[in-house]
Amino acid sequence: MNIIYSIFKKELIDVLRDRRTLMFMVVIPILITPLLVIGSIKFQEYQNKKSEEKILSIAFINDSGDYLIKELLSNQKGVKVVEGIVLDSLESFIRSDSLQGGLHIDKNFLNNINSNSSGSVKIYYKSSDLMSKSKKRMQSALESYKNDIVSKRLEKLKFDEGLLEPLDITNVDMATAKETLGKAIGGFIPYVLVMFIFLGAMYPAIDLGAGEKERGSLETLLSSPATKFEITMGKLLVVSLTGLVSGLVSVLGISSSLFFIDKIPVQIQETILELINPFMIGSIIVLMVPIAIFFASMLLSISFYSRSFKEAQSLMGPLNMVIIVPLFLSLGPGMEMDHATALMPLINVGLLTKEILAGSVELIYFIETLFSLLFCAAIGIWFSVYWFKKENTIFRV
Amino acid sequence: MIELENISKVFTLTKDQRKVVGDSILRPKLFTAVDSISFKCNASSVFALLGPNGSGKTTTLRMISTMISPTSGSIKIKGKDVTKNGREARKSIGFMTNQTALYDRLSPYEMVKYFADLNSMEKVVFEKRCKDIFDTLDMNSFANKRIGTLSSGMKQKTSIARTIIHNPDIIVFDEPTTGLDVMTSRSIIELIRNSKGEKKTIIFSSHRMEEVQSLADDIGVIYNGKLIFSGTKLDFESLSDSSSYDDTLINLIDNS
Repeated sequence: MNIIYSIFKKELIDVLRDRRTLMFMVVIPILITPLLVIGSIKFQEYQNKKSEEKILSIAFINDSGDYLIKELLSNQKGVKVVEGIVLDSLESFIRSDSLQGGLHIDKNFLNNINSNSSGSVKIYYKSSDLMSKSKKRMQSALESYKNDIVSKRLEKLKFDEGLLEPLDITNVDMATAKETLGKAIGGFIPYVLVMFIFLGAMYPAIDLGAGEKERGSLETLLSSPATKFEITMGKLLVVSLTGLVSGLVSVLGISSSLFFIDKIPVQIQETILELINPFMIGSIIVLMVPIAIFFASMLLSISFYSRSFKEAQSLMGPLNMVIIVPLFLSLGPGMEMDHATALMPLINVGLLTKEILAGSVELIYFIETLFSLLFCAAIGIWFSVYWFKKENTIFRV
Repeated sequence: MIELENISKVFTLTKDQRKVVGDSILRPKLFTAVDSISFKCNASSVFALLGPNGSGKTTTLRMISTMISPTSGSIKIKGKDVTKNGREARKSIGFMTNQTALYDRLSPYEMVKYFADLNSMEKVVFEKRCKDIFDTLDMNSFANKRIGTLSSGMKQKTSIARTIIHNPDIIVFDEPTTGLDVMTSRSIIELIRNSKGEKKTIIFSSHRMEEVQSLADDIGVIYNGKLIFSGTKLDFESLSDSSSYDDTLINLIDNS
């Protein structure tokens, strides 16, 4: 045990003096992640505002005698009605972004409306133009027109408008703000958490395995009284710890960044504070420990196998995908926590984190998830020790 | 004392290695790096292990240091089988190569302390031994500086201190001076000489015959994994009329 502690202590000092490790373990999660979160939200706000304020040129091609639609369209905020466009050239104008949309009123439109039938209107727009709100604005004008016509028709028939609304529905959302927010950000948090555990563990793992091989210091370490088991465990503890710290720092970084966003209502900020309670923090840490050990053991095994720092980096790259896919699956529709998903590594982390944040976690699922992760961690430890003991791995040429 | 008896080491080759070793049809899966070798390194003497590159010297030294296990045969250090008492064996071994094998972000003191801890040295014993070594090697001026900032000479001194901090009875040197400058090589030669004076058992591999001539008491020559000569320095010198160790070694290999 003393030897494992000696190796752990030395490796920790060594790793904490490495700028690259510190960068991935602390600097990126605590500074870059909040900046990314705040930056992306601010950018989104800016884009929304820009698209709201953007003046859209919409062609109005009227083959009928009705001009009410034109008036309603002109009244829409940020719409400039362009007339005199020929229907045949409308498509090319929209494709070239000279126009953001077009409304074509059929020549029989007014006759059909007056004879209580449906008047044909075509909306031209480009769905690929994500910034454009032209469809929404054209539809809004037509909706007003439709409501007006319906009212007039009912009035003519001496029918009450309530005739078309037999149900008076009131939606009562029973979810608390905590549950709603928990489910919403619950999908995002495990993603960040797991990625940062991985990133935080990656560089120390490379340095402590392949780096040691490259320096030639692994040979001298192997000639010391430390056994291969003790060497692996000492290194594994340090790599797990750096991953764990990185994950924790990233969650703290993201949580703190939410308070720097102006438009988050006080109620939501209070809910966030309510979410960050000792139970939530404790549960997440308990989940993070086996994940960090599992990642550390996998990364260290790859690192022991690699001949050089560079080879280890290239071998670890594709692992990102292996992690992202199950987390992505956990965000999919219909993915709910049950006895089967609770045993699927990483998918269970994604689902359980949502439940923890929403405050609706069931103990049995928590235990099953933890069991599954601890099993993976145990397999990981066994594998990395077995792998380190293989002479072909350590002295691979 | 180190005793090797019928030691063999067979490696399983990887796909890439098989391509290099065999031809396209017959690609051997196994490679015998060391083939039934036996020799003794006596206490208080220096044993030089010679042979061309790839002959099996490093594999033999790694087996003695228990980094790898022999496929067959036995290695005894002070009468104890190293495969059964690996940790005990390693406590009495200091291992050094031409690479300084240091951690750039530690200081020489931290580096030496780390290996003392791995050897379970008592703090008081360590402090005294560390002071003696640092004084002898004139290391005090840079003892607390980061190794990464030190000159190659300072690094080599740190490497020496790390190797001998636990006062090992046996020191294994794997081509310790290969690629080093004259000054740095000299510090290692001095270490070997001093260790011999301290009644330690020393085994080293080398390509520098002048070192072998000046340091070795006994010599072993490995070629293609087989020990083709083992005897005293005088026995080796008597193999050829030439006074050159290089010539003697080449003749020996040619005639094997």
